[in-house]
Amino acid sequence: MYIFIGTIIGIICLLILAIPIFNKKILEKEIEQQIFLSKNKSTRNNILNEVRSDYEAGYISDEKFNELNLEINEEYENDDS
Amino acid sequence: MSHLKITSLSFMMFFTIFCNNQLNDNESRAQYLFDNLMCPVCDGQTISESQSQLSKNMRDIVRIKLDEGLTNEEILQYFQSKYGTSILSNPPKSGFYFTVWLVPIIVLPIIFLGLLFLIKTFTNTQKDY
Amino acid sequence: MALLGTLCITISFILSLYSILGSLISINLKTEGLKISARWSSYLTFPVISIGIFLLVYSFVTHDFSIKYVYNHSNLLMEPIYTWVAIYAGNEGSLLYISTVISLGSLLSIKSLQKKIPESVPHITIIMMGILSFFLGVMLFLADPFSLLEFQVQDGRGINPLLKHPGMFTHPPLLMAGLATISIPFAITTGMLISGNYTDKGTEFIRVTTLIIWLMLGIGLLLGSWWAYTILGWGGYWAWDPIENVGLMPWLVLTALIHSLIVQRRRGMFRLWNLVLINIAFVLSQFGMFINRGGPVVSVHSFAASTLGYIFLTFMILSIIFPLIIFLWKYSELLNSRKIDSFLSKESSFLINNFLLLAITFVTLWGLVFPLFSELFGKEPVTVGTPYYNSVNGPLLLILILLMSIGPILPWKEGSTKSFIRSIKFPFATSVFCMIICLVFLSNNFLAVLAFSSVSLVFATILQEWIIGTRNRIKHFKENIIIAFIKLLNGNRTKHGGYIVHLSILMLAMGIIGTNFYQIKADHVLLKNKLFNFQNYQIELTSIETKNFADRIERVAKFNIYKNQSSEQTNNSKKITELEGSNALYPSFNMASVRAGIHSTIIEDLYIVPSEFLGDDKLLIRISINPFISWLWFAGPIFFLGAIFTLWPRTEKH
Repeated sequence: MYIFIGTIIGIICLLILAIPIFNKKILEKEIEQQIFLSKNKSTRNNILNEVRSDYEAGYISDEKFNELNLEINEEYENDDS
Repeated sequence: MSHLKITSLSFMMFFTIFCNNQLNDNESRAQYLFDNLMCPVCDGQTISESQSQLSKNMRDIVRIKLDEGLTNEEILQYFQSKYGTSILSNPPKSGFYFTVWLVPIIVLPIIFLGLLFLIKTFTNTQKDY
Repeated sequence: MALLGTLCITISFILSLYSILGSLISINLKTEGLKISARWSSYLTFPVISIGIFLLVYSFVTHDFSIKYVYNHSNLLMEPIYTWVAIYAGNEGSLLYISTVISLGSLLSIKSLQKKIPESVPHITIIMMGILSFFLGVMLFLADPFSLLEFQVQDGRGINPLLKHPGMFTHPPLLMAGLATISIPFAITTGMLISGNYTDKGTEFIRVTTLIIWLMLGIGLLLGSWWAYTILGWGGYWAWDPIENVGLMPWLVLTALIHSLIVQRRRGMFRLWNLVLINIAFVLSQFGMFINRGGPVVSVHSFAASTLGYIFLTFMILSIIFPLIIFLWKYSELLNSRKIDSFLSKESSFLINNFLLLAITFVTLWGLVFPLFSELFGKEPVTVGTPYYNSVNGPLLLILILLMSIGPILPWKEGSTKSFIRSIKFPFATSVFCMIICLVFLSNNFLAVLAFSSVSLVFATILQEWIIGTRNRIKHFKENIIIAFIKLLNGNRTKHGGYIVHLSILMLAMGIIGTNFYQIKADHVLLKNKLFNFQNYQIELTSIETKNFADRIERVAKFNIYKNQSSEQTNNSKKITELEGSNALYPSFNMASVRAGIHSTIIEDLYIVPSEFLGDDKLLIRISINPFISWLWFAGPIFFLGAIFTLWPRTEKH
């Protein structure tokens, strides 16, 4: 009886794995999703917010604030492809 | 900044409550020795921690030796000669075993100096990006 | 039913192998269908292995003693609640748990990374599934949790009595999950290297994952200490036992990694170094698995010694060689990086932080393997115990604490000596003041004084940062003090969450310093109803009872505790509490389990263990005073909150 259940599980797995190989529609849908690469904006914004907060707290000078902002924007621009 | 001093002061007050006198009698010496002797039949426990009969016997022997007037070193040596070097919690600071201390004391400062050298080498001498 | 369990492990194993093969082929032949199918196969390992682990737990709860593992680790008399966690009690069940965790971690990670770095996902999948298939394979061929007992039984042997403690619900699963999931950042970085696409797009995911793993390990370790303190009855919480060390070392390396990941995130530096750190952490976690099952070193923790040990040793060696080859082949991709601007910068302080943490890891590792090392040279076996670690790691930890006051106040890129001195002035003055007070009252131990002063230095630094930041916000934004403080913390969760975690480390330090230097213990024979003076307390033994249970004989001693209300003598003492300590003998395990009576205050714990019952009215106790030890436990929630705060995702946009 348990061997039967095990076999059923195995067959279900096999069926699921066969889908992307043999079913064109699902395959195309998956590939389409890949193309929408999410840009790295949210990380950049998080870091810029942190720098601004440090500046508002008086931890860093005006000069350093500008320096860091420039640097971070430059860094993350290269990654947005 | 006076806020700072007051806060720190009250924080420090905790320490002043520490007026416990360390016992320097046979009892605290016994406890010290218990922490420095391993139980031979247990997995990695000192005779202070272990509940086994052998540990109890060893603890009794330590007390007897303390009453006899032996020093801490002499008592440790007694056990070492009876059970071997592994009875001590700490490798003896002599001969081959000294490497256990030697290696960190030599290796770490060397790596640290290497690190300082690396930092110096890889430091920008002018802002040019 | 056991057969179904084994089948689930088998199916999972096959799925993981298919995932590896499919990914490999699809990378080379560029067949998208196979690539997706292989990825889905890795996802499927989780539901299948979950059925397996559910079946094992079910077997324990329903007392199915036909399964060898259930027989060995449970019995009919066990409190039902422990049947739910008995799977962690031994080797085979732990492997099943670890496999489930790796499978789940893999599922969540790969699904998430498919959206961020899809070009590297097949490679990452190969590595994750390679690791999973190792654990599944070991179970299948050498350590099947579902293997059947050769003979018929009515009852099991029961669980190790030391494991019947609330800690059993949290310490093993957290620790094992933490060690197992180190494979995730390892797989991600190695996968990215192999695919030739080492970008920063994966960094944030790695950073968050590492923090979660570090949090699990840290809490797991602390819970283990708390468990040891409350159940093992020797008033200690850390013995530098090989198994403890092997959980500590990856955590130390992860601590280093968390700090240098901050540099990578902020300034794009240290990419190569972070890769090395992840690899070290992974190797150490495999080393942990080996030590736990190999038996080359003695420990209260190890599962039985067996051939399994050599298998894990081989896997560990492979996990050094394989990444090393990949590393040498591909490391040039990581060389383009910014340089350090100045020695007096946050970046360089993080480097020193890394050095110190790795130094402590090295010392711990060296102490762990030294007995084996000396055996290799034909020398007499030797023990490396707490005194060694205290004397070598102690100073390193002290310097690390001092660094905690310097790093945060150094700026990014370049700081000036002038501004550094300006920032450190008041914290330094505070610590000197503290040092003077300590020297007056605690003059017997200069190291302890130094340690306490360092703690106050760091505390003052954090306080200063928060006061300055809040005051500036009040000045510029006219917010009230509470809003300003909250907005300050919220504005930079990475930094301020880090400060909260540092505070918890300070609390840990207080507990460690207090117990290390100022613990007082003694053995004493108590006579019933006769007062015993110990420090500022009087202890009175009020009763001794013997309770007989089916699986144990328990002897319980009750005490009245009185305390001096002033620093003068005893006439002025008041009863403050009643304590109970017990000593239970489990004949079937030939083991005694001791519970201490503990009276905790913020200053110290009074800790009483009944060592030996010498009659109906005579009791030998071990009594100790453990200063500041509750700070260790309270540090836990603070540590947790700080780490969660750092991790909490932002919802606002720039």
